Amino acid sequence: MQISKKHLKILDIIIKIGMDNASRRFSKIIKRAALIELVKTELVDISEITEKMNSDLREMVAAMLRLEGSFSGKILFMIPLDGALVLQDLYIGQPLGTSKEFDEFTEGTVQEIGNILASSIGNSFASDLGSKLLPTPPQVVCDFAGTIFESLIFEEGMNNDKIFLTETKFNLHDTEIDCYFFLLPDIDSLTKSLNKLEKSENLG
Amino acid sequence: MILNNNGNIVTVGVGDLKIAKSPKVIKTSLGSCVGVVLYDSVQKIGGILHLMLPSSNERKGKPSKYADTGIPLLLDLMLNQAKSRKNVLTAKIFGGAKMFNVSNELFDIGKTNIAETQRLLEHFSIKITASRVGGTKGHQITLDTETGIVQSRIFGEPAKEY
Repeated sequence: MQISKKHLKILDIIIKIGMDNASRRFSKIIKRAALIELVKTELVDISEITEKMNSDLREMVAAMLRLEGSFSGKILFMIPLDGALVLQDLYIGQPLGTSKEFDEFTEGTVQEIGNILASSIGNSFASDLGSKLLPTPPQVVCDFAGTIFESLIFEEGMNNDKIFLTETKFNLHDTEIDCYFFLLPDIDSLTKSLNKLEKSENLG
Repeated sequence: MILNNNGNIVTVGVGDLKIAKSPKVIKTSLGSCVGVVLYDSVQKIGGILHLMLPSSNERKGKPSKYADTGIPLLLDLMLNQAKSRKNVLTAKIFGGAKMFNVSNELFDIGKTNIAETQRLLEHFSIKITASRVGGTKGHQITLDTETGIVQSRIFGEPAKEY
């Protein structure tokens, strides 16, 4: 797995722009500021990152999907179960506290927000990298934080001890709700896209 | 791999293994991965291996990711580092669920992980005294090294002790 420092810098900028766009779109839809608390892109050891996630004993609901196109990758949007109910109220535009139990509407909300965030970051990549990217339909799952995260990294972790991961944390303004957004790009296809971008810039 | 960690809680990540002595507790979360718990009731030392795949198949990754290389490694730590006697060691296994996944290649890898873990423990003559495996949801397990009791929690179900 090889990614140069220069590529990492370019990627960091593209991801930050993408997440900024995603957070604006997210905020507009729920009519509340979704504040980015953290955006971090780095090569991480699978045991270390999952050790951190396994310390989080919360029950979560998540939407996972793939980005397919000039480069591929996986995206995960994850929110604690109680937070998903707040998100549902915000999304539907009803007073907070109206949704009391997790049901198909909560699932639909998480699926939709996952879709919106994925499309937003996909569009950003498409415009900055000149790549065509399409998100697959999201799969929604309820489980422990560590278990959901394990599913995200499993395939890459089978063959690599380290994975390239973007971690973003949002806080929904005026609530205690934090939600998480992870991007796990396929490193080979990403490097090809970055090389292509670099060449076209040099030619220009 | 550490014998001690900050505080009394030792957390194990995917493809890793850790051992600890009483009064520490060791915990991990499992999906299709299998958690192998070895316990020495005499010294009150326990270890958890969080394995991802049944066989390393000459992959170059960490040996603790695979059952065929990880189980011997955990056993070696218990016997040679913790100085446990083999005849007092017992095993408990958890996890191996059939998880949702975006890849078809990984169809029910949990089941293969369970079968290989059972085969290897039998091969090394380590008795499995308890197991809670399979299903479609995640497991959280916590080993209390003082008692050897493992608290197992499956998503959506009450916690049970093994």
